[in-house]
Amino acid sequence: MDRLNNERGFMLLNVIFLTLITSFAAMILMNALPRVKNPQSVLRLTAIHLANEQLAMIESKAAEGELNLNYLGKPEDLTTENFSENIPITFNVTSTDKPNGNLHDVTVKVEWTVDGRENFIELERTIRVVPKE
Amino acid sequence: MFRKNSGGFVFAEFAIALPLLILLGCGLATVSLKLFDVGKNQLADYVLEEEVHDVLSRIIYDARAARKVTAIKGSPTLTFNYRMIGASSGSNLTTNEDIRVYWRVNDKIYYEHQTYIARNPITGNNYFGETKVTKFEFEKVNKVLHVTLELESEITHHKIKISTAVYMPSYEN
Repeated sequence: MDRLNNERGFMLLNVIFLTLITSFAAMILMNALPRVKNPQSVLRLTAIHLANEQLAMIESKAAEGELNLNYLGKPEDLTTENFSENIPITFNVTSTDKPNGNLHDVTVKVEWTVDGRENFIELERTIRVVPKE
Repeated sequence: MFRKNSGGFVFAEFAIALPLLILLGCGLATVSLKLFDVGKNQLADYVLEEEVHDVLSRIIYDARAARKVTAIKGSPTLTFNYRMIGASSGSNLTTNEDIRVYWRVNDKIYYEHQTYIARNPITGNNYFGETKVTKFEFEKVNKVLHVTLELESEITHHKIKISTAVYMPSYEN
């Protein structure tokens, strides 16, 4: 104890340097965290526009008098290579309907799988079926 | 050189702690440079994503209210016509035409209001990531407009291609 008393300066310096290093490491890790958390934003965006397409097709069919819940968009739009390193991602589109007279609450669900993880989005729109004359 | 009573502490400080410190510093510098690079690429990708989404959602909202659409494929031009109700003069309302144009010129898409002069680019020119348009296609079937847009980032050379469709309820044949 008595001999360490002479080395107060070095010990103080160690404390300062170690704190600096630790805080730098923490800053770097905190910077990397949101990148790890949100890896699939582009596929999500593609899925939103795919759901929009399906809703538009259902609307156009509904204006002619029938509600068709099958996939009505272009089949090639179901596959995308956006940011997926040449591995095509396939989307699965399903539509469900809650009728309320002429008005139908149509929910379109788009599902896709990346690295064994399943993701989905759901979009809803109220669509009026125009009765046939 | 060393004082008798220091017991090797000073020697240990310089021989062990200083090289360790330098090594750690180099490691941290490498990691942070890598992270800056990743961050730069990711910002460019966000810009790419944002621009394609911005253009497509503008087209969707403009198309849903349009009375007429003219699509020219040669130099891709998409024109939406609207019937606007102006200020009333006396007892009758005046209606006038409004035109909005999406126009691809070279690597950019321009959005113009009432004019055919390309002045207002809505893609490219972003400080965080330059982009260029590689495909802008559309097809109108009855009252549905299909749009395909492909953008490429000049920094990461990633491509993003999104197709969508809009139903135009007030379209007049």
